[in-house]
Amino acid sequence: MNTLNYSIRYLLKNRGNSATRIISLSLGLIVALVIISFVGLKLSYNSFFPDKERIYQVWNISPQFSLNGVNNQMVLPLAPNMANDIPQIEAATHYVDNILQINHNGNIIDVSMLNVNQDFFEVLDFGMISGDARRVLSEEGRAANEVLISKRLSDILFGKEDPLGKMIETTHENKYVVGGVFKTPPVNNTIGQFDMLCFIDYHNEEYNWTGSDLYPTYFKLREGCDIAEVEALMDEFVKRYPDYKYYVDQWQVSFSFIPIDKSMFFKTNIKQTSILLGTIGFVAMLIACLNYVLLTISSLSQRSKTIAMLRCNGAKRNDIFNMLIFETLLILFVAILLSILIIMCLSKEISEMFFDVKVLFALERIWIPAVVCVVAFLVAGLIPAVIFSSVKLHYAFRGGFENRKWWKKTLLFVQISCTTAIVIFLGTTMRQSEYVLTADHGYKYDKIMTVCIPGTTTTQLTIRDELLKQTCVEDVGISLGYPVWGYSGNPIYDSQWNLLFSCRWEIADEHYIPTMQMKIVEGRNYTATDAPNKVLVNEAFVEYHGFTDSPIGKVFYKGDNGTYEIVGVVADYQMGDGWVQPIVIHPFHAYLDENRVNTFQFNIRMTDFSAENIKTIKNIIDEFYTSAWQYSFVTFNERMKDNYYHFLHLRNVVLIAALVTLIISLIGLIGYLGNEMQSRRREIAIRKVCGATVSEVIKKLSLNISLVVLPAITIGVVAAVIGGRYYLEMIRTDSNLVTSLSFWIFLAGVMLVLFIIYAVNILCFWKAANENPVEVL
Amino acid sequence: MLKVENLRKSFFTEEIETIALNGVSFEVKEGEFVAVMGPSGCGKSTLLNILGLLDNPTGGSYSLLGQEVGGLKEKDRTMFRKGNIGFVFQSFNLIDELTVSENVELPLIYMGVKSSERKERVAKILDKMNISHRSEHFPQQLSGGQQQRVAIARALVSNPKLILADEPTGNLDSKNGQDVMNLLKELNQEGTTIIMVTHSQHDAAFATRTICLFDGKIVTDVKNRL
Repeated sequence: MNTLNYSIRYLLKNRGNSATRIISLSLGLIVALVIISFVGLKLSYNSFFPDKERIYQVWNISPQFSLNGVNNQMVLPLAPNMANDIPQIEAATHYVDNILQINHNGNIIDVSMLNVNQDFFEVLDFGMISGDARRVLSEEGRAANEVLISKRLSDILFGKEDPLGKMIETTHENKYVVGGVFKTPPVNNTIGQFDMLCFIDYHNEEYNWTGSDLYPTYFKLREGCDIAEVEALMDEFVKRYPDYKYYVDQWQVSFSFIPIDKSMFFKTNIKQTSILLGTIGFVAMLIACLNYVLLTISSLSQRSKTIAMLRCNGAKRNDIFNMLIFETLLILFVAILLSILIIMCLSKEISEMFFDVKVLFALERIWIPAVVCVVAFLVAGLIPAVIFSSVKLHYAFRGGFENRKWWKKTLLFVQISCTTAIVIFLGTTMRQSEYVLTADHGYKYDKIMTVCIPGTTTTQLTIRDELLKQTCVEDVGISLGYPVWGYSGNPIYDSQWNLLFSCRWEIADEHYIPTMQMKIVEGRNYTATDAPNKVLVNEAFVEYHGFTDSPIGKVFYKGDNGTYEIVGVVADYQMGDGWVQPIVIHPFHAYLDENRVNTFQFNIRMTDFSAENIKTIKNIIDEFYTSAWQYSFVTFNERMKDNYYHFLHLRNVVLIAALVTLIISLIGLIGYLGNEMQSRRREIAIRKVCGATVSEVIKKLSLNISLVVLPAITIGVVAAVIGGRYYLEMIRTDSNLVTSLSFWIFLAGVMLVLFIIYAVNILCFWKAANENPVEVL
Repeated sequence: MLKVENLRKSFFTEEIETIALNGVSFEVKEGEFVAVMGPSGCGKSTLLNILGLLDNPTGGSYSLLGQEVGGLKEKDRTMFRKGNIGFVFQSFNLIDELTVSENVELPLIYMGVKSSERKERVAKILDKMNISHRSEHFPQQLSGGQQQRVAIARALVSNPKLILADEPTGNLDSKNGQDVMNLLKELNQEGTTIIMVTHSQHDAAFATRTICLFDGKIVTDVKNRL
């Protein structure tokens, strides 16, 4: 009880020191709690499924697939036939997603709807609340236009009313009947936040074995079966479907069955990003804890006599140990409360950047913040407790400790190293995020406004031509997609119908190339009057095809028995996250169809994005627009930022971590220097009496700290090189747009850290160096 | 050597003015050994600090080596101290982290003396102080008398014209105190001017002249019989 009493009294008496320790610990805890919980959330994806050890996702692996050679989207017939043909499989399912717009009380709500088969909940049990899922997800349910909705959508649309049997109407005037309600999908699922489920249509043209690989496919093993048994049966399974066998053989496809809780690693960099973020979170926590230790040890000289008196009066080492442990517990408790308070206050910012803060306190993952706090306690609590309790009495009475300086310098060393590494790493992430936006993508997008316009091709051409008449519009190109989306692929054959390679396929009008300011390196652009089989290809296509002389006028063959003639070659441009693939740009006018509504993207090159100009083009579109879909304008710049969000996100996380660690380290540095100043006042005075000037004193003291700072910065630079290389290599697995480590960024980072340290150093010692030695001595 | 006239020093704390020195005038010639005595709070240490250019007087004049130094700025005082004044304190004021030779070397570093010459001069003075066998020890490893000898060596190493000693035997036992006083006497006989603040009549007897202060004023100034 006395221990508790002493600790509380000390903390209250030394409010400044206590508050500094609480604030610095809180700052580190906030960053660590949020980042490590975020990583924990990422690594816990799909772990909530019952029987998750029996659920697998099907991946196709082929050296001919782009990027990392993995395709996780299967053909439509695969799931039902695997479930039928392979006895070890209990059930198999798949999905394809769509966006619906629902008109609710005058507001348009975008709703993600999945088309799934009857076994969806048998495999992926998100949990039903009401209704019969098997009946709704069947031919019978589809015939009655029945759907399942999430509890979240039910609450939005119907509040507390029972939604069963209620009608949902889309902006396209499609009507659905609610046949059941399922639990709102947890945030840590790889399928995403869907709110509607309806039965998949097996009677459409996509039900074939050779194309339309759009369907992520999952299955559940029967109890007691081993995945190796399924793997062994796949050759036999494929042989039963000649079209599929042809596809598998042609593309040299192999199957890989991934446990569902590992399926988020489809992109290799997710795992690496998690490691990076986890390291950053851990480093932030470590710095905060070491800073706490540093500030606590710095107070030792003031407290040593108290501790010596306690020991003289019968306190055992354990009592001193417990006193310090209790003190840390108290401070940590207040720091945790403060952290939670700040996290709640920043909930909007945190939810935009990481997750809804409820996720942090979700019961199933509460162990993550708990572990962070326990580790913080162990690091921050044990070191000072061991040092304080092991003090020898004769040293304590003299106000010093044998290894105190060694400890303080070590802690400062680690803090400065980590801070330098994070600051320089921040520079590298900033350079990379800037680079992906400013690098030459092969097209210019600064002045491009995009809008998706569903309609017949006639309507689309009419709108384009009207837009072209406006003075605020420099050009308008129509395309099926955007380069940043990537494109679906098509097989390319030689004249003997031997598969050559897979290429991306874009459909665009003759204005597209000039609008995007893409460069034609050979031949010409196609015109509206060219035959529909005259196409543009890119340089990579020419290389893949192996044309040895000019490709202009050459023909190639596609899987639809089509023959295409090359009229021009476009310079390579970046697709998706930044990769170059062979691409064919096929004329829009090959798809003219008065009776079919298509969805095409308009790329409008404008003089500027003033409200007046936007209004002008909106008026033109509205005049001819016939779709119920509510369109919206998005600048190409925004699309690029969305596409490269993961770079910007990592940069922002590192920025926050760097700022926090810098602040914490500054607090630690000021504490260290303040203590140094106090303990060296006499020395400074003696030096002055011996003839030292103020500048000589500061120089001498700065030299002392340099012995810690310079090696620490060197280690930090080495860590930043390792971290930077790891980061850039990680990006390289999925993107061409990778910058390099910059000497100037390293130099700037080092200079910044040095400047801050020496500025604080000089400010701290200035007062001591100017003190009248008479007063000190 | 030095001359003070009507020297005054006041300390201000909020609204209270404390007069430490109130019109002190005296002159010290080269080669003198002056003891300054008086009860606690009479202004002895204040006078010594002003004479050592560690502090400025509030009024009056102070001329050292023929130059008026009473109104010098901190930077100029520091420059003037270098090589001209050596200090010996009651509590030795050695730097714990430096060895004996490094402590003694300190004034020479700030005077910009070359390393080889520094080593030579330090060795010489340590030898003279009979402490050279302890040159690589740290102050904590020495006795009080040895520490004071190191402090005197540090005060002397720059060959100052004036040594100011503030109760140099205050922290020493009688034997070590006697040794230190003998040393100071010896130095004085070699020509070094010394001004020493002391409470001890015994120590003052080593000086050639004794100035007594009371309430910031000189009450007696007499030559000692040797």
